[in-house]
Amino acid sequence: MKNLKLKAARAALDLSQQQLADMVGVSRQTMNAIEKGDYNPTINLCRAICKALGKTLDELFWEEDT
Amino acid sequence: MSANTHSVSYVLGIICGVASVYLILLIVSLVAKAKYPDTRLFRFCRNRDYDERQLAVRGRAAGYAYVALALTVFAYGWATLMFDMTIIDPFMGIFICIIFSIAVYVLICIFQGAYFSRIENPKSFILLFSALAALNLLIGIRFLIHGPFLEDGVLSLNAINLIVGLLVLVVDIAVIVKSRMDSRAEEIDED
Repeated sequence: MKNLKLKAARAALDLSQQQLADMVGVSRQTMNAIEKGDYNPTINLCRAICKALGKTLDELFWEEDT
Repeated sequence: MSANTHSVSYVLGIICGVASVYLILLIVSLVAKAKYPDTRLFRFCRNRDYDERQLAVRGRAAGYAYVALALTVFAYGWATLMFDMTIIDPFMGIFICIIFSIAVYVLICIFQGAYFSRIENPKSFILLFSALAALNLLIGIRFLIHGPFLEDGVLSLNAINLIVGLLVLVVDIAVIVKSRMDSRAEEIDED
């Protein structure tokens, strides 16, 4: 499932995938895979992304019940 | 001709060949370094240079490559036994199986974005791979045209350069295609 919240948070700070990837220490392809829902990051990577975007884990990675 | 009967000039020829390749690689790396100063061309990347997803992909790719190697070695042995004839020198047969498994590993890593680490720029390797492919293909084609490519109807060790050249060419093309796909993805992301 696509992570639209992550993409929106990144866009709100006007960051490209490459810039966010550099901030958290992963490749651009990995960041793209996380946003597309093709890869589930570890908790450490989730925390690094949240710290870079100034959001909480719930705000970026909690799946809403449909 | 066994290894013990090779003349001094033959050995010196091999040494000069290796030295020539090293010199060409050195020149290519200096040109690439000048063009892409923030990248490292001949640094062996450690695991920490790959992110968690890349390490997982590389692990899976190694598994697929292992299976590919096992299947090709089995196929080669079975074909040799079934048809009771040798068309490929045994060393060459195993070498081709190894090259195939390396190709499986490298291609999976390239198209999953796990071949190059975060500190490497794929574009700086395109020139290097092109030079390596051209060099090996030229030597291989020379053997193909002037011989001896086959010895007593059996594919000999002289085919090594052609096979390695083809592998590096396939890898080079894959890197170019993947680089273009990534550039297009970045443009879409920025829109």
